[in-house]
Amino acid sequence: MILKILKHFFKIEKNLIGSAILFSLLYGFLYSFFWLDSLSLKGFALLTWINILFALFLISPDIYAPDLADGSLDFLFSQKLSVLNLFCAKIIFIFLGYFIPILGSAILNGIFFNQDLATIIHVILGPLILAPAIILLIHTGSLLTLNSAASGFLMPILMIPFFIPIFIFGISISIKLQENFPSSPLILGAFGMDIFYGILGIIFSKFLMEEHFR
Amino acid sequence: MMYFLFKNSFWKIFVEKRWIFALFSLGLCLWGLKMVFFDISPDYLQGDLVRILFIHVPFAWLSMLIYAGISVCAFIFLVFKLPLAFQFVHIGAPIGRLFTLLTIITGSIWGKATWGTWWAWDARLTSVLILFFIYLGFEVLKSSLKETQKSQKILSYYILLGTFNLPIIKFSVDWWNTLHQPATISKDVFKHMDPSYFLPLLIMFLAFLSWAFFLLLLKLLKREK
Repeated sequence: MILKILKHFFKIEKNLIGSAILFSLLYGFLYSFFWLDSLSLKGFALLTWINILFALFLISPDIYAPDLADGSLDFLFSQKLSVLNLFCAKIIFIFLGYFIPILGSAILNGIFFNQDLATIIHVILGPLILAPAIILLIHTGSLLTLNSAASGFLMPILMIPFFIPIFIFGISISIKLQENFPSSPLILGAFGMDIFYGILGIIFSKFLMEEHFR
Repeated sequence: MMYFLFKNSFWKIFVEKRWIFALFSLGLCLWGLKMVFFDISPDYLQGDLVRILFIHVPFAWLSMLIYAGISVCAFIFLVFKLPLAFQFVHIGAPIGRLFTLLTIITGSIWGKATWGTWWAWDARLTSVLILFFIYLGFEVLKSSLKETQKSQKILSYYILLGTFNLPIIKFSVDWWNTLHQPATISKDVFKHMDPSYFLPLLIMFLAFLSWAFFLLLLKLLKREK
């Protein structure tokens, strides 16, 4: 069932995925005009994190919009789709459809900025470690948009205060990894963040989905 | 809810005698300020500037304490569905926001005189600013939702999401190289602070704590009316 829904999501949201990847690539391209062709790890990590969070932030109000607009969710619910299946499918879809392609374009940007392979890996590991927290918060933001009368970016904006610590932890992790200091409390803090936002994100999402799709 | 407050003798005493908290707070505040301005000697390094810290530190503690308190209330509301717990979240958040704003303002004044800048993107300062944004976000979210049980649950979850920021504020001075000094109040408190500073700090904290409690009761009554 989840695979079937995933296929469906990839089919109807291909334009949004394309826009997110294009945004990420253009973002790196624009920075290359500022002659930032050899950034420090800190600078590259900063640009990568802004890219990832900004791209995900832009798509977050529309995560459920195409499915609701064409009535496909109603159709899937009529075929005994459970909220749990929809949740799992959406989380996997956000990871595979948005997160990984945006991360891929961040790698391409790293090549544009003449970063060595080790630096690119250290920078990419930060978002990968924090992926559960990022994805669940993005998903929660999109569900908040569905559940409130306020439209557009208001709800994702309200989620920004939770993303700032993730952003700071992500950059710090990349720096610590390059310093070969993986036992830092920051890395433990990042895993703690994943567990905390992961559990709370699942419970919050379950409540919001049951309220909206009841 | 009012029915609950007035039926329950425990709360009834607090609500009816709320002015005692205001007078207690005022008395403690005057006593504390007298100690801060007349009894303690200036710090060997900071001089008279240290006196700002006797209001800045209690504000900072309260901003975090109130957030921790409303997080517990939000959790109680979600688990045990106790309406009174959400009322505390609802009215506690603006009080916490006020104390966080005062923390930032007093810290900026102290920072300008000590570091030469009103603001630095330091981990401790940034995490406190995030706390302020979470309090603001709560208000915006509250105003964008109609008050139903569903919206109360959404707001409670929102508050719980921000709880992770509290350990970040606490440990930010240890995890990152910060301009802000490490925690003074620890196991070896008198190693980092002159013993004569401890009592005024405690008195000022108790004064603001009772003031916060008075504001809480006042808002609770106002909300019911």
